[in-house]
Amino acid sequence: MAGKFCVSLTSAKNDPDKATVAFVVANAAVASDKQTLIFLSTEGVRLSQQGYADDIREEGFAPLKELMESFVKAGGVIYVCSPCFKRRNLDEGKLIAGATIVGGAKLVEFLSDGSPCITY
Amino acid sequence: MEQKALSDEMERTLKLLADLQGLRGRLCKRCESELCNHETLFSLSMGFKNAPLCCSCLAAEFDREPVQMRDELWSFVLHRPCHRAGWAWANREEGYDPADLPGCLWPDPRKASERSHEAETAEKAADSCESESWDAGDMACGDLVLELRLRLRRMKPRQILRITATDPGAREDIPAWCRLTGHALLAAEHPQYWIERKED
Repeated sequence: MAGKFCVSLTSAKNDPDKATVAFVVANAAVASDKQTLIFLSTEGVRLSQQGYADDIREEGFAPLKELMESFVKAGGVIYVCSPCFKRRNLDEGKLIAGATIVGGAKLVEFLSDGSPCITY
Repeated sequence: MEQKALSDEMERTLKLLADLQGLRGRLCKRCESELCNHETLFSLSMGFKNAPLCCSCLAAEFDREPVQMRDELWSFVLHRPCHRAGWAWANREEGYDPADLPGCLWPDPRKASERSHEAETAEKAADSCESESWDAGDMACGDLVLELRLRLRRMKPRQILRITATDPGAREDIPAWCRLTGHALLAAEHPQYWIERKED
């Protein structure tokens, strides 16, 4: 069953458990042939930087870096909230593969045909 | 015009001419017909630099009749100095009199002063539109599109707003917002975007 699925993630190292589970669920969605988007906002945008997730490994789960790479390889898309990114002075040149900086309109467009969205 | 604005315009013109020269002789990415230089200019105007399309395929892409697409794009070109320079270059390259409409797109050769009714209409519409410009700076996300909405609401249908938006999210957001709201994104070359206000 085709369709879309959005995972909104607002945490990074401040809550590595949530960050990890968000990608686990997103991987389940993309593996189920859903057009899957992870929307990183507030603290979650830190995950868009190369190297940031390298040391995040929650017990019982694969390392976050692996989960993120698998997600992108499987065709998942990562949107990064532009104002959240800017206010943290992050580096556009260090974006991980598959990540795109966007504003709210791009998210609204993705969700506007009734895509479900789960938030961590 | 201020010195900096003149210099920017010159830079845009030189870049456009270099792009046109680089794409000379290319085939339409979709139907593989040979593109004339004017069609290449149309494709550049619409942001199809990497996959230029002939006028018919561009029209199909935007759900327009080919003649309507041609006339709208021609009107668009006429209102931008750097694009006018590109048009003049294309005419010279193909041996057309600068005062003539090029036979590659107007098979029945006529003087530009005797152009089609559709072109006249498009031209008048564009003339009546005092195209506006807005420097949004690094405004982003909801603030950007909310202000954009307000500005377009104050304008008349078919008027064209040129926006300069340096936020990196604008690359994705402005086209998405136009698709959502029905305003036409005529051209985009970050950080500049040209939007035609939709009908009420």
